[in-house]
Amino acid sequence: MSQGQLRRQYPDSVSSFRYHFESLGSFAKIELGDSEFYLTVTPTGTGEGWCGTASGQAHRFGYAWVGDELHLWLDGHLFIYQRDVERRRNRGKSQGGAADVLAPMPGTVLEVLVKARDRVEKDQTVIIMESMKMELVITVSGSGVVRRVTVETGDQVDKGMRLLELAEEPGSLEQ
Amino acid sequence: MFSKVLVANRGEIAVRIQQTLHIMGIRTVAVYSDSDTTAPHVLMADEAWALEGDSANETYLDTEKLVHIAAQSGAEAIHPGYGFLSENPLFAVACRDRGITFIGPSPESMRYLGDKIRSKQIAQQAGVVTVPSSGICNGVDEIAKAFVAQWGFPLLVKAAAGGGGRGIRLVNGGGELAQAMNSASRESQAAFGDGRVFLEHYILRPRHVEVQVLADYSGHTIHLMERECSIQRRHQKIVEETPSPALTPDLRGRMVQAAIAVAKAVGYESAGTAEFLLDPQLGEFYFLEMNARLQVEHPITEAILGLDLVEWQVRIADGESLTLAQDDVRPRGYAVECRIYAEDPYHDFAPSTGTLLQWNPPSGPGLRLDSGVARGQEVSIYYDPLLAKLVAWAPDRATGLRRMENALSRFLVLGVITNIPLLRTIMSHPQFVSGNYDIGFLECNPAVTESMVAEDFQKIADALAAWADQQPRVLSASPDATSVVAQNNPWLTSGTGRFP
Repeated sequence: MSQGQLRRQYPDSVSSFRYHFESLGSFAKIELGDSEFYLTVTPTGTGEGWCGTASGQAHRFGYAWVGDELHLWLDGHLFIYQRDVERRRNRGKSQGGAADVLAPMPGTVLEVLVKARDRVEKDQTVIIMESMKMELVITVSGSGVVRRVTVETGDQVDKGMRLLELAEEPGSLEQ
Repeated sequence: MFSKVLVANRGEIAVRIQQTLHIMGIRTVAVYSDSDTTAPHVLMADEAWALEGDSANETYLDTEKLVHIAAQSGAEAIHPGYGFLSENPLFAVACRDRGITFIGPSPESMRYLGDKIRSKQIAQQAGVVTVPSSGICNGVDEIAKAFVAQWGFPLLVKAAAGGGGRGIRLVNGGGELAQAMNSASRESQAAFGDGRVFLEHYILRPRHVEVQVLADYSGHTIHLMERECSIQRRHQKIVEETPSPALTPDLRGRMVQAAIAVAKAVGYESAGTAEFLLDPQLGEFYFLEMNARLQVEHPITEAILGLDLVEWQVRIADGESLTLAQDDVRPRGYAVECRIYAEDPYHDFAPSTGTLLQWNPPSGPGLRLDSGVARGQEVSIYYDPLLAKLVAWAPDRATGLRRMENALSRFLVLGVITNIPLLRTIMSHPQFVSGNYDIGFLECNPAVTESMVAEDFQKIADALAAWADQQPRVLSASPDATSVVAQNNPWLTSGTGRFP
């Protein structure tokens, strides 16, 4: 009997859940909270197969690990889980503090419209990005003062990367 | 007939065009950017030449490189596909200057039609009604102000060049106008090298219906029925069907005649598409623009007519006359196309990037897959996120929609997020199934873009995830770029586009 913890993050994100797993010959017993599941898993290829439930239903599935994300396809639906053992390291990505402006998707920075110490108002456009040939207008969700711009025109950014830091209290930058 | 043709494109359309060229016994020359080195369109080609670089500008949009490679490789003609340089008259001129045939209309008709303003004037002269629009605006100038005074808001800012939903902004009030014009202009400049914009009256919730035309150099012009393209997100089509559920025989008759009139007015040759906005309540339609290229959604026309549009483009470019008469065009059954995009339908259609770890498309009678990707391939930020197009043919619409929904439910993709769940929802949505929908479908049905998973099913997924978490990590699947060429494509198995 082994156990683990997963956090589901797609299509919706919920808090993480703990499970208990036991391999019982031809089937696996999985406990999620107070429910128990008995699954018979028949692989049909690498990371692909059929999954039978105790009620006699069979579902086609496929799965693959993308870094530490588990992508699971089940009967035409996609689910993404993350191993939730410890907080992951950030690999250069931002922690995502409330006042940071993050890249909503990977792309190229086309234009930076503000500089450090600029005062910005809620919904003001601060950066223009291009992703997959679509132009993307980045706005701020609240007013404040730009503390630091962390990208410049032409930069390639990953999803979730910090574009600029915003001090929400307009006075916080005055010396 | 040509013995060698260069395909100046990538992805599914470069694959699809080469399939026809191979069937016609023509050798193909592929071109590729650094990140496309092992893409299916490269591996299936008879010859492949590097474009060196990754951005569209230094690769698939580089006229000089492409024309140079064509000359070096001995290709007698270039097929531009759609997007990139397909509607750029300068590219067509550059080909002609080097003695290379451009497979498409002449640079002259492209100049007329590629400019959305000029094409409207031509349509009006041909007696076709158009959507009210302004001339080219330079920021919020006198022309823009006069248009706003006459027509008010909401209005659309549109790029004079381009297509594919790029360079279009909906503006609801004067405060947003200047920024929308700048933004549309910049996007169009980046995508098409032309930043000119104009304003267009916004018709509230019309249907988008287009007519395919085919013409040869002697002026023989026929229509190939309509395509209904009203299911759109970000002004870009995601589902197309033919015949359109909105057209009565009378309306269809008037619309196809209007399309032929516009094509004849510019002396059009090759395959082209006249786009119309249809007001279903009034039964009136307005000419929007003429696309001087092969459309993304051309396979549904091929499916109901049993002909190969790319083959006709090549034959017409080679100087053959169009031997097809209007009476030969006899539609059979119904076809629907779903565009498979690497994007998240539940989070504002954000593009998704990554490596395709699983790519297992459905196959079977009545299905056609036009795909430009394969397992192991990287979906990058550099290009359009269209992965593939799935087409279902059936004798009637109800069967076609069910067949498509079923096929989508079997389409296994892992590694990137796709819009497949949204497409499934649309296929069985009561309003879509009724046929009574317009381009506001997604906005009016916000529940469609919210994920809905039954709790019992969610539990099974969670349990299976726990099972997978306990398995030894499987090695990532090996690249499989040739499978796309061998799989379920009727062009290859039967040599004809006729379904099933």
